[in-house]
Amino acid sequence: MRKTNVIILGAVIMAFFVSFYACHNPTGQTSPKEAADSLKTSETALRDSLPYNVSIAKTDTVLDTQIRREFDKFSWQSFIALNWPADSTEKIGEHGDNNTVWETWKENYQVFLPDGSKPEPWDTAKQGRQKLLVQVGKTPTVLTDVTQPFLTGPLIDQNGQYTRFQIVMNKEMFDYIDTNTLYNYQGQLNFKKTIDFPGGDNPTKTYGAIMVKASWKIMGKGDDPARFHTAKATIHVPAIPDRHIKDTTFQAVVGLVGLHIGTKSKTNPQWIWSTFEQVDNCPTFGEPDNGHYNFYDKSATGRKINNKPDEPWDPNRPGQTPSQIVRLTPVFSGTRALTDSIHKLFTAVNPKSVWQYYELVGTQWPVHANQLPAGDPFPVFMANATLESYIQGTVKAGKVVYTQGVTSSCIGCHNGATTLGGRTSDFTYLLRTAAAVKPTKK
Amino acid sequence: MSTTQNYDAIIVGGGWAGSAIAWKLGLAGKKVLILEAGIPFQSDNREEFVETFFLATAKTPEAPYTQNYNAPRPSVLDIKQIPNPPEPPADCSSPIVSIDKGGYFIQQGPMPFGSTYERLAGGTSWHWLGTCLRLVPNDFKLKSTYGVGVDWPISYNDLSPYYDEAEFEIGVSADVDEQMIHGITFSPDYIYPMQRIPPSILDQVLTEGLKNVAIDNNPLTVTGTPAGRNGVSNIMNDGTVYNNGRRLCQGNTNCTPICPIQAKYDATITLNKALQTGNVDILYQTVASNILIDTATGEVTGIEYKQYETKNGPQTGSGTATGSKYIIAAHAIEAAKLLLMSNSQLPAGVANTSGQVGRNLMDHPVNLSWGSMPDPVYPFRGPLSTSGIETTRDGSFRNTRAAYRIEIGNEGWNWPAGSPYTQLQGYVGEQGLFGQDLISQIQHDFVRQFRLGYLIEQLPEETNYIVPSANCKDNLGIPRPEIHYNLDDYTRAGFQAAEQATVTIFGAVNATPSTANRVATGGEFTYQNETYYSNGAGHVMGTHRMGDDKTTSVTDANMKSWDHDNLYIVGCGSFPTGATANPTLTMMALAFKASDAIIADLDLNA
Amino acid sequence: MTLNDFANLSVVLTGYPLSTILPQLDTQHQAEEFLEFLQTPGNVPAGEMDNLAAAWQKATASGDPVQGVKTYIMADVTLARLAQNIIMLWYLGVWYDLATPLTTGSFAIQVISGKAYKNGLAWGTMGAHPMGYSEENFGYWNTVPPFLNPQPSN
Ligand SMILES: Cc1cc2nc3c(=O)[nH]c(=O)nc-3n(C[C@H](O)[C@H](O)[C@H](O)COP(=O)(O)OP(=O)(O)OC[C@H]3O[C@@H](n4cnc5c(N)ncnc54)[C@H](O)[C@@H]3O)c2cc1C
Ligand code: SF4
Repeated sequence: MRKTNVIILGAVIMAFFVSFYACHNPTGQTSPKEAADSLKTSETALRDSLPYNVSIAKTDTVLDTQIRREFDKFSWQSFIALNWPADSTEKIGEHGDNNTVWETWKENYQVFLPDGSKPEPWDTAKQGRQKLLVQVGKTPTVLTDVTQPFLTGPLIDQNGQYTRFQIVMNKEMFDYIDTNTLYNYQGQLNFKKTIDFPGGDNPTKTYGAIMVKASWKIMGKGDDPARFHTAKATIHVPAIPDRHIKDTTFQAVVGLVGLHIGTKSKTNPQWIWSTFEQVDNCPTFGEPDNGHYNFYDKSATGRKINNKPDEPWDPNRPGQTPSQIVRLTPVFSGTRALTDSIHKLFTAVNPKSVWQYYELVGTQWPVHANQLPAGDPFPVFMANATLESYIQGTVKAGKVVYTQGVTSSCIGCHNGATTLGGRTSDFTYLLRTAAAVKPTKK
Repeated sequence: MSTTQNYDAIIVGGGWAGSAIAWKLGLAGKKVLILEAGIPFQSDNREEFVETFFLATAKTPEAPYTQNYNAPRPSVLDIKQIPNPPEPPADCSSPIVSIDKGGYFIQQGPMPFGSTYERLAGGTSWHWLGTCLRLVPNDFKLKSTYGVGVDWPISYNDLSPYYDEAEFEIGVSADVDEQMIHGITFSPDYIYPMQRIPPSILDQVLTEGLKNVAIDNNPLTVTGTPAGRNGVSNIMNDGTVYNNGRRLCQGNTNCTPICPIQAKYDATITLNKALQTGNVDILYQTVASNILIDTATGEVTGIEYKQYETKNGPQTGSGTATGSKYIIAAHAIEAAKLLLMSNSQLPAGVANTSGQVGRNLMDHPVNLSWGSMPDPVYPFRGPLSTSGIETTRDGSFRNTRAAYRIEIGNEGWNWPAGSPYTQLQGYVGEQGLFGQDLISQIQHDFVRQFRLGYLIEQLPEETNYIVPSANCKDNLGIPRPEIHYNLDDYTRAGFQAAEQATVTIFGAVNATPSTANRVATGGEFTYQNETYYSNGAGHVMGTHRMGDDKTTSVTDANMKSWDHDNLYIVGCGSFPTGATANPTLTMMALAFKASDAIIADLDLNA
Repeated sequence: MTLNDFANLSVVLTGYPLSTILPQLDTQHQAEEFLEFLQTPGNVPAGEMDNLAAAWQKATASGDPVQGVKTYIMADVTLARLAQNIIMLWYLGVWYDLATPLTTGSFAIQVISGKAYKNGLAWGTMGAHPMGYSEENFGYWNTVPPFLNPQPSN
C-alpha cells in the first residue's frame, strides 16, 4: 500500500544529516555544549540529535520542492530524535520498538494543575514513569473534564474504541510557562508582555519550545502490534453525571497512530508543524482503499466520511459505530519519497523496526513569516487524519474543496490562540486549559 | 406512514428555542424527539457554508445557506416594494420556479416584511449577530406605564434568574455595571461569563464625541453591547474560569452571516449538548405538517410530518410523532403557520380560540444612517458591532412614539450601501482610477466610513399578520406564509425621531452624512412628507403571544396553550410587545422558563 | 499573454508591488488563477487578451508604464473595460459582465474562488481583512491598524 515513488536520495540525505546536531540528553535538558560535541562523533544516518532549526541553503529557491524538502527533512530529523530510546544508547528501533524521549516530557496536565498551583520542577525520570491517558477530545476545555465539550467529536476506531490524545512539551517551553506563571488564570491575566516562547536557533545552538501531540488507539482485534509503537497506559474516563458517563479506569496497551510536532524557531515564529501518522490509519481520497485500516472500513459504504460519530459520545458505550476517515489531501510525492528513504534507514537497523510504519504527512511553515500575521503558511492546508479528522475539506461533486480559514491549517488555527486573558499565546491553545487559583475569601 | 415510539416530549424545530428545551428536558431525564425540517448539523457544515458564502456574489445573511425547496426560507434579496393592489405571486403551481422568482414569502403589504430566518439544524442562530441585551423593566409593562401596547404576564424580576441561565449557556461577554440602565438589576454577585468585548476605534470616537449630548433628556452614553461571542474569561462565583472550549473572537467581521471559527454562539452547541444527554433523538429533513387533536379532551395526540432526501427532490416519507407533551419551536412565522394550517379538526387552527395566532407580527424595523468621519475610524475590523447607545430605549416619549436603540456598526457602509463593492465599482468603472490613485482613494474614503442602525419599536397590531397561503405551496405541498404588514404612526414617528437623532449625532462628531448607494429600498415609506427606509432586523415576534387572558393571548406565561393542555409554543412569537432589545436572549430565558414548567408537568403526571 | 506580462500589467493596474502580485515564493498562485480564468474561452471575447498583451508591450516600451497604460489601454474603450475587470479581480475576486459598463451597483457574475475572495486587495488596502477571513487576534480592532497595505502614498 505504501509502495510509491521509491527514490533514493542518498547524497542529499547524508548532507543533511551532518548539519546542526545536538546530542540527545537523557535528562531532557538540551544543552548546546553537548550538541557541539556530538558533531564530531555522530556520523551514522539515524541520529538522536534534535535539530534547533531548519536550515535552508541559498540554493533552495523553489518552494514546492526544494524548500519543502528542507522542512520535511527537519520533520524527520525531529521525529527520529524524539523517538530515540530515552534511556539507552541503542539506536531507534534496534529492538523493534523502544520507549521514547518525548514520552519523558511534561504532560499538559502536569503543568496546568486543577488548582492553578505551581507545577513540580522538570524531572524526566518522574515524568516518564507512567502513561495516563485521559483526553478523548483534541482540545479539552478543562483537562480533568476531558469529555467536554467535544465540539468536533471523538475519533472511534474499527473496534469501537475511542482514540486518546496526549500533549507534552519540552523543557524550554515548560520553563517559559513556569517562570512567567502562565500556568494559572491569574498569572495569565497579569502577564502584560507579548507571549514569546523561545525559538530554536542554529547559529547560537539554542533550542526552541517544542510541543508534541500524540494520538493513541487501544490495541485490539485486527491490529498488528508489530506495526505500532506501543505503550502500556492507564486509561481514565472521568465521570460526567449529566451525561451518564461513569468514572472508569483501566489498563491497556495503546498504539501510536498520530504524532504532531510543533517547533518554535527564530526564523519560523509561527512555528514549524510536522505531522506524522501510522500508515494504516486511512486510505487517501481517490486512491485504492484495500487493506485493513484503523479508521476506515471499505465495506461500510453507508457511513458519511469524516463526520462526527452519532451522539451521545461516551467512551464507555459499547457498540458505537466507528469513524469513517479518508485522507482528503494526498501526501506530496516528494514527502512520500523522503519517507521511503527514511524507512530504509529504519529497516537497516532492524527489519522489524516499528518506526517504518510511520509516515510524514507534511510539514507546514510560514513562508513570509514577517510580512503577514499568519506568515503565509505553506502548504496552505494541512491535516492529520487522527487529529483534524473532521475539518480536512469537503467533497463536492467528487472533488475536494478547501475553505480558506476553516479547513485545517495548523498555523491558520493556532494563530488565533490566546491566553485566558485574551492575549495572543504564541500559537498554543494549551494556556487556555489553565485553572484559576481559588481567590482567598474576603 | 410510521408512528414513532411514545416520547415524553415532541419538539418541532431543532433551532434555538427547540435545542434549549431539548437540552433541559434531556438533562432532567425526559425522553425527547426533535423534528427538524432542515438539513442535519454535521462536521463539514461550517466549511461548506463559509465556502458558499465566499463564492456568493451577494453577501446577504442567507448567502452561506442554499435554498431548500422542501423547507424554504425567505431571503433579503426578495424584499421589494409592493404594488397596490399586490400582484398575485408568479408561477405558484411550480414551487421551485416560484420561490426562485419571487421569494418564499407571499407579501401582501402594504409594506414588505423585511426579516428572514433559516431552516436547518441550529436554525437562525447560524446567522445571528450575537447581541444579547436584556429588556428593561418598563418593556414588560408598556400598557400600564405608557398606555400603549399590552403588558407582559411576567415582570423583569420573574425573568431575571432565567436571564442568568441563558447568558451562561450562550456565553455572553459583557460588563454588569455598564448594563444597569433604566432599572435593569442583576442577581447578587452576578458576573457575566466573559468580560465585555473591547470597543472598536469607532466606538471610542463616538464615546468621546457624544459625552455631553442628550436626546429627550437621555444622555447618549455609548456602552459595550453584550455579545454571544467569546471574550476574556471571568472567574465564575464557584471559582472556576469560564471556558466553553471554543476560540476567542478573531474579529472576522462576519458574525452575520456566519462565524468561520464558531467564536460566536450558535444553537448547534446546545443541540449537541442535548444529544449528548442520551435522552434526545432527532429526525432531520422532517417537516411538521399537521397537529392532531383529540377533540374530546383538547389534547394534542400527534404531529404529522413529511420527509425528503434532497433539497429539491420529492417527498420520500411521512409519519406521526407521538408523545406526552408537544412543543412548537419552529420560529415565529413557521410556528404560527403550522398552528393555522392544522385546521382539519379545528377550522380556526390549533391553539387559536383567541384568534391571535399569526397576528401581532412585529420586527424591529431598522433605520440606517451612514456617513464619513473627519478622521479615520478603520471599519471592517472586529465584530460587526461592539457598542451601542441604549439610553434611548426608555422614556416618557413612549406615550407617543416608538423607542429605539442605536447599534454602532463596524462594517463601514457594507449594510446600507454595499461597501466596499459599490464604491469600488464607481472608482474603477466611473472615475477610471487605477494603481496608486485607486489606493489613495480607498485609503482616504473607506477608513472613514461608519453607520448607525436604529432598531425601532413596533407595537402589536392585529392587522399585521401571517396566514398559510391558500394557493402557494412549497415543494412538499405545505403552504407558504402569506404576510400582511405595515408600520403604524407610532413606529413611523420613531423613524422620524431616529433621523433627528442622526442630525444631532453626526453634528456632534462632525461627520458628513451620506445617502449614496442605498442598496435596500423595498421598505420605503413616507411620514409627514418625509421619505424613510425600513430594513428588517431579523427579530420576528408576536405571532403566538403569551398573556394573562385566554381571550386575547395564545399561551399563558409558561408558554402553554390556553386551548390544549399538553401543547407549548415557544420562540420570539411569545412576546406580547417587541420593545427595542434584540430578542433572542429574552427568548432563551423564556424557553428555560417553559422547560421548568414542562418538566414539572411531566413529573406531576408521572 | 505571458504570466510575467500579466503580473507586470497587474502591478500597474493595482498599484501593488510585484512581490504581492507574483511573489517569488508563491503559496497562493493568485496571478496564475486569474490569468487562467482570463484565457479560458468564453470569459473574455476572443482576441481581446492578445490585444491587451500587445497594448501592454507598447505601454512598457514607452519607458513609463503608468503613462503607457493610460495611453494604450485606458484610452481604448474595450481594453479599458477589460482592465477594469482585472482590477476588480485583484481587489475583490469578482468578475463582471464585460459587455456592460462597470458602474456603481453593477451586479457581479461570479466570485472567481474562495481563494480569490480571501486574497482581495481592497481589504488590506484599508487596513482591514476580507469579511469572514481574519488572521488577526482577539481585540485587534481596539487599536489602529499597524499598517495600511501598502503604505499610504502621502
Ligand atoms: C440576520 C439576523 C441577525 C440576528 N441577530 C440577532 C441578534 O444579534 N440578537 C438577537 O437577539 N437575535 C438576533 N436574531 C434573531 C434570532 O436569530 C432569532 O430570534 C432566533 O434564532 C429565533 O429562534 P427560534 O428557535 O425561534 O427559531 P430558529 O432559530 O429559526 O429555529 C427554528 C427551527 O425550526 C425548524 N423548523 C421550521 N419549520 C419547521 C417545521 N415545520 N417542522 C420542523 N422544523 C421546523 C427550522 O428548520 C429551525 O431549525 C437575528 C436574526 C437574523 C435574521
Ligand atoms: S467577529 Fe468574527 S470571529 Fe468574532 S464572532 Fe464575529 S464572525 Fe466570529
